[in-house]
Amino acid sequence: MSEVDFLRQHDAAFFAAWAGVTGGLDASYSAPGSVTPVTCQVLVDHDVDQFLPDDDAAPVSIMATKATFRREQLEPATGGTLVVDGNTYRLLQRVSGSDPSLSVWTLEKVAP
Amino acid sequence: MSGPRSVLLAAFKACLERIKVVDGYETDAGLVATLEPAPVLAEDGRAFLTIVWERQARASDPALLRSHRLTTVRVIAKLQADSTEAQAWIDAVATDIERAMADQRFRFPVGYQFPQYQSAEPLTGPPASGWVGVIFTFTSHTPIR
Repeated sequence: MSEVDFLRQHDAAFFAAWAGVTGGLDASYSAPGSVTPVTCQVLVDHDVDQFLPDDDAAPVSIMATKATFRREQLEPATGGTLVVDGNTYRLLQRVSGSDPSLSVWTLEKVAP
Repeated sequence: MSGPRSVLLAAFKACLERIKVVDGYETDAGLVATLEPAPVLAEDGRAFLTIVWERQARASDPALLRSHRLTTVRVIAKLQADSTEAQAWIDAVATDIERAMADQRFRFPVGYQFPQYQSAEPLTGPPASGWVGVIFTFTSHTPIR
């Protein structure tokens, strides 16, 4: 087995186990321009970041949301739409944490 | 508070708090115009602007050396904008600030030079931040006391 195969198997097992613990990781993904969503499993991470480009005294505390996809399931693309937990997001940028098995994206919340 | 810096900033505020969509401007940045910048929660969603003085220096006009300081003021505006229209909102709020600061000589007391535009810069964060802004720098000769 190659290292990539190992990563994929490991991530598939982790997603399955984590879905069992959390009650499910199902989300609905639509590729850019597509109107037919597909169901996939994603990990969603919420964090806080500061909009502080000029180091001034009025930083804006923003919610930063990331989603982790299994690339075996689908290959996400910039501008794709993800619906998870009743929220609709647009995929903005692939970020670190991605590897041959996982694809991690920053999300922008959009009006449903 | 009536020091010359406070007087100058209050006049700036009077100009800039006129920035409201209902009054024909493109943004509502003037609805929350403050001289006391403080951290903001993004979910409030409201545009805001802050006015602070950045530094004071020796007057650059020899005639004012004994009576005035050259005061540098920064106007910082921030507003919510998703990534597809970030540049458009930066332009909108910059246009509003230029307009609100034009022809307002009467708001600045005698002895206070009407602010001179020096520069402006866009403020952008990572694409997902959902916020943008602008920062304007003005200078004005203000009384020492």
